[in-house]
Amino acid sequence: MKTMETDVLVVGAGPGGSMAAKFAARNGVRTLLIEKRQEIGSPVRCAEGIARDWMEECDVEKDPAWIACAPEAARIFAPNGTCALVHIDRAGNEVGFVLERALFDKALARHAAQAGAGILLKTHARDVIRSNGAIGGVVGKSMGEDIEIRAQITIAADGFESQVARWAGLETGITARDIVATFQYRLCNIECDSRYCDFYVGSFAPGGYVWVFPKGRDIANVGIGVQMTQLHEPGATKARLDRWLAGQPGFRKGQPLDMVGGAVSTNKPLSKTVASGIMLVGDAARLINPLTGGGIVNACISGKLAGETAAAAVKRGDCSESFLQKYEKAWRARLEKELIRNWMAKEKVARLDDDAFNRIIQTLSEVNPRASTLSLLLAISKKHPELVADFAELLWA
Amino acid sequence: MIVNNQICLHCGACVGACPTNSVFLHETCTIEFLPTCTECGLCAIVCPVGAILETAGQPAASILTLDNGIPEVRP
Repeated sequence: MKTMETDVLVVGAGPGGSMAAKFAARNGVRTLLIEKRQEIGSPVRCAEGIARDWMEECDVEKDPAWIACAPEAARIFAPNGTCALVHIDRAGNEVGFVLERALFDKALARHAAQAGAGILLKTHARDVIRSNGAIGGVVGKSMGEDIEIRAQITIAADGFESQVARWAGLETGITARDIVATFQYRLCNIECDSRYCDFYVGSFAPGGYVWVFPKGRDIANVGIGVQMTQLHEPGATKARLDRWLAGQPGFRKGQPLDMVGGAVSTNKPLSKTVASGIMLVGDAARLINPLTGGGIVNACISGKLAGETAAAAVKRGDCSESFLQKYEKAWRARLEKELIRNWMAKEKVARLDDDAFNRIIQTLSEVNPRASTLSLLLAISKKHPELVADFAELLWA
Repeated sequence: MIVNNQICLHCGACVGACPTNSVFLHETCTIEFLPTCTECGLCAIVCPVGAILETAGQPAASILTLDNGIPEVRP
């Protein structure tokens, strides 16, 4: 058995993991980032939409190399074809840029390396190491060889799978109500408008939606998300997208360049994301926006906060749960209110029928696309008070 | 549970949806089911392309309904 030792170990080199590694290493502690796959950023399992206004916070400089497209607005289509336009400033954390994730993820990992982090590929964890009531690293394999990596702090950034957390005894299991299964083609030779990220809602995608995120003039990520409770036969997610595509004249000539599957969590925030020696970030901490399914921004922000806390803990020689609460408090202060509000909205939206979608999107379409979020919500609450009644006070807070 | 590797996209949806953390995705090539698997079938439901079958070779989804997230196995 090979043995390694580090101060901070990050499991998973997606955006959350790389950001955590960058901020830990930058703050002067030994940092190791491990990735199961042979290539960071591949295979892509993402619709690749992201907001524009988070990069400064995470010290990421915009690079045209990983931006495929910069749409100016989101279009939300009702089942009857009514379309509401929402300008990017108001469209939430999935609209602004359409990324090249394969390149974006590599860029973030490269930033981590430049800050001093080490990276190991084809290295996975199979369990955590427990010592004196704390998590002290992981055991797994690296290039086929058994490996033990001892660390003062382990940052679990292993995505939707969220296995490291569960090995460590943190409850990240979610029920089918809070899981959306997804399937996407990258379709070329289609009619699409690169000025818009399009969302289609209706009974063809119960508890989710169909997205068309442009990656160029005649190419887009076209995918579907369906709440797991609405899936009743094997392969239903792909079958639903295929059925939807068959009814779209603009996509008739489309041909796939790749296909990806996946799942996203749409739960309300977990009650606990740290324990002695371990912190969870991004999808592994179930920090996906429950309404849109967007996860990259929250992964980056939580990764940054976890990396900073990890470095502070190591320097202080205190990796206890009570010290790591600093991270838990920081991400809650930054993200929790919005996550709860969006979870409540999602609980409502997941129950809407086609007729309700038609009426709501009609209302939205009558509001100025640059109107503030508040005006949008006011317009909805005026005509459809039942939709916002339960969480009205959160909206105005 | 068995995986049809000719269909599997290695996306990891089954891993995250497994209530007993009993599925492991080896890099990009193999799905492993651990002895702790209860054959509840949630992984077969969440799999976007229908690559997971119940051990007897019968599609797991046909023996299972979901109500409020609780798996229910039909006789």
